[in-house]
Amino acid sequence: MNHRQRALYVIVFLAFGFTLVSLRLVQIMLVDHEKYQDLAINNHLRRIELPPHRGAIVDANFNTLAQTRIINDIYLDCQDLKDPEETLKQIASILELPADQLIKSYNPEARYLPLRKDVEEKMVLALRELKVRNLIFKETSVRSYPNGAHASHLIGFLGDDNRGASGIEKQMNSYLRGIPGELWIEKDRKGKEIAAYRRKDLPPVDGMQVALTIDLSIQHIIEDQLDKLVQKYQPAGAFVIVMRPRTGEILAMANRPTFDPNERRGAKPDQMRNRCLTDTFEPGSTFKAVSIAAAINEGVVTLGTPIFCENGEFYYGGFTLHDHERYGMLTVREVIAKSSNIGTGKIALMLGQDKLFPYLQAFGFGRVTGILARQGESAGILRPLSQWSKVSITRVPMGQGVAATPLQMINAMSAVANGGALMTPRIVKQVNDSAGRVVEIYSPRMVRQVIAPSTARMMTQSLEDVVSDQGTAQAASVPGFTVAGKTGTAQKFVNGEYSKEKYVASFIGYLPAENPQFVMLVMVDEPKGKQYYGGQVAAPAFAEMSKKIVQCLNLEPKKETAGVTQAKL
Amino acid sequence: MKLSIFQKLMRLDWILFFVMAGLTASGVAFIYSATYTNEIEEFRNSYRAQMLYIPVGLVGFFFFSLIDYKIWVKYALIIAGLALLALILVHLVGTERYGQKNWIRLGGGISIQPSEMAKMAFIFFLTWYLLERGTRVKEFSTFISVLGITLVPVGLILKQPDLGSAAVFLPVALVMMFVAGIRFRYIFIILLAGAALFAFCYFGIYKANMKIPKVKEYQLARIKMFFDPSLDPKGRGWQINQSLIAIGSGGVSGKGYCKGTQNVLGYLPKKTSYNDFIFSVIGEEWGFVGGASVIALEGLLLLLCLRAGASSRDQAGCLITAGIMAMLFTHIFINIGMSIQVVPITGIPLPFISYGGTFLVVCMSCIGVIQSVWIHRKGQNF
Repeated sequence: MNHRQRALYVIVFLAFGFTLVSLRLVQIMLVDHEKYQDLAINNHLRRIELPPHRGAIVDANFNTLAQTRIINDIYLDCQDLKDPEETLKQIASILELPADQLIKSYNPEARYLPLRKDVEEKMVLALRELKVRNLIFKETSVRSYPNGAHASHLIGFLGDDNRGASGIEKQMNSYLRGIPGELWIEKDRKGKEIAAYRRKDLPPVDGMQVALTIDLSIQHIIEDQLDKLVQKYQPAGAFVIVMRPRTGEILAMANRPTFDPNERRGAKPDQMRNRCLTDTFEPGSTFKAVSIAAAINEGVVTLGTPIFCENGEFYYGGFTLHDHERYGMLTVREVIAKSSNIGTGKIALMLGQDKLFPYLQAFGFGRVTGILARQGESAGILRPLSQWSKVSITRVPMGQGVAATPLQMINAMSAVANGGALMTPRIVKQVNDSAGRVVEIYSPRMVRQVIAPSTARMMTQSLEDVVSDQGTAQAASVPGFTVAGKTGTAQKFVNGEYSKEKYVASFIGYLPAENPQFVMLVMVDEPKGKQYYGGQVAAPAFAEMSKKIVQCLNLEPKKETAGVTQAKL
Repeated sequence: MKLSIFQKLMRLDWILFFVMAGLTASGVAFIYSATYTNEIEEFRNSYRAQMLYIPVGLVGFFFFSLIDYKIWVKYALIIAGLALLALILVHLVGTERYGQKNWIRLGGGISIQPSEMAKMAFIFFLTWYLLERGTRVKEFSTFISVLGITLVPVGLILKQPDLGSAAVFLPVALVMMFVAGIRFRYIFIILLAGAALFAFCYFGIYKANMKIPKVKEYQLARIKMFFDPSLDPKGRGWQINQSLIAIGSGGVSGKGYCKGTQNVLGYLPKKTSYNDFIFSVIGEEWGFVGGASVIALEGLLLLLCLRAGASSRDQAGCLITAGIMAMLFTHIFINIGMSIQVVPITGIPLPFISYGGTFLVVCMSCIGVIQSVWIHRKGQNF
């Protein structure tokens, strides 16, 4: 082997070495580049998240329903505190604490000595002025609900992760939460911040303000009334919903039992459920309004059509239908006013189930309204015709064998009040950004025209009779206003039969009848005591609240009626 | 026929010269980037110090270029004697730096590293010795005696202690013996021993945590860290991890000159980023393009050396070239290799680029010797 051959071997050896190094270079610089880039960024950049301020929830008049409050707690790191006595005296004077007590509690070992909690903003500023590095300022944000339990089911609350867990807090979480900001700090190996390398900070974007359709003053009215109802009847539950028929806006909604979102510990799920949406009831007689409206709209009957009410006992399909009074011949209008079961059943028989059923669907029964998505809203029970028995056609129209949520019921009645147009119930009015600019405005949405405006007018006339000395709900009348409405007294279906003790008393009415400004549902589930009729339990509460609500809404009473009332006095 | 100085200059391998010059110039730039944010002024001024050594290196380069290399073989014994003396002196009057006693102060602010110069002297001496052996060069006795000769500087330098510099001598000796024509089986013994050493490092030192007398704890730790940098992520493992992050995060085109976050913010070891870890700075700031270019230029330089050696008029030129190439290659391979976790961390500079005056002058002088081989190549003697 001569030298040149050996030189060749040397080349091979060199090539091997250089190839090895180059391949490794390709691996870490090209193949694994991203991994190392992340490592390099983690090395020298530290991301500090700046939490955004959660947006407030306000009512239609921008009264606060939910807000985020910053709580400042002050702690002291006692280690290496310079001139403890003098410093503590200064701190004590700012925090308005007794100095000697503070000095007594001072422990040079303590790293996290609590000084005072929930400190005012000006105290925090004064403390910062001291420039004592041992002071620890702890900021926590607390969601507070200034109206306590009022409208708590609607507003909802935050979960432990500070995300909306129910109600509007959940529904509008993406608007309310805001966008966290970030602070990137470039640091050298020793962790020292390099000011010259500081990147552009990203400020947090505060959450948006969500304005509801709720009118807080009306909400207070119904909450107070519910408290009275609960006290008087000790019911299993009680509900009031107030809506604006023309727009579908919910003006107020309240449930009993209820809870205070500020003191959620100990509250049971039962109390926190928004039963107006989640629970279904057999609607009872209030459903007659819907059924008869269908018959009128189909031209099967008019208000004057006489119906023979079989003197209180109607044998049909192997069962006997009863009225609470023995009625003979009644007009359709009187059937509504007196809430005759037999009359309603016979009208429905004239209409036929094939024609009735589409109306029930059109009024929104058997389908969720979607007012609060994914919060357990029930669709109620509206059995398809194939599952109807022979007697269903006489029972369903009087609100038996169907189930609906309070919201579905008021919404159907609201459609009658609104000239037959069913609206989507709405709870959110608009969304504003943190600077107060309008981001989104929600406008009324009509679902469908269920009955003709003329039918709706006829229905209103009949429903006015309900609230008269001829009807079942005279107690619902409001001086100065014509009230239209319908009572309901549904026996509860317990253990396979209709209970003789458990009732659901309800009244749904609207006023002024000639130009409805609000429709209100009052429903009392299992009132205790002798009174259980809708006309006895719910109607008076309706009247009492309405008298106040008309003032809130600035509704003018009719002159002549007001005069008559005065004359009577 | 004697060549005049002018003729010699004409015959100079100018490509080799410019490759060397390019590497040296870029080295100054890299040193500046590696040190410009250092808190210590001496470090910040190191690029200037390096620039001051370039003329000295050029003097060495031309000096060795223009003088026929044969003379070094002729006086190899004297040169080796002087180098040996210097290596002994460094233990007596040397100054210590970062725990290593490898400097001799000459006064006037100038100090030299005898271990670097010893590398050159060793190559001359070994050339002389292998030629001296004549036909017996193939024999086992040559192999044994060369290993014995190698142990002298290695032992002295290890005592400083400077593992990196000591590590260079063995590959140089092996390559020179190989080129001189020794039986390959002897070399094979060494390669086997190397493999055994590697196995020992892995199983003995890394896995079984064995201690070796006379070997410093930090050197053992470096070996362990090579196999698993996460063993001590805040200490020794830190360096290799940060070096990998620096080079890996450089990507294709790098973060820009003087803009490497790993380098500028001090994540690369501040005391050695301008010599031992200079390749990490290059990789981070100039990316794969820069790193590969440096490797390619160093490779081209070695190939040009090989060309000179292959066209040498005699065996002395071949052996000297082989020794110099082996020395440079070992530096390049270990320096780059340790910053990308191919070899354990060993303090050894990257030729022409790393900070270090003595080594720069030695390297440029070595290329000068190669030039001399090229100038005096065969068939060109008119």
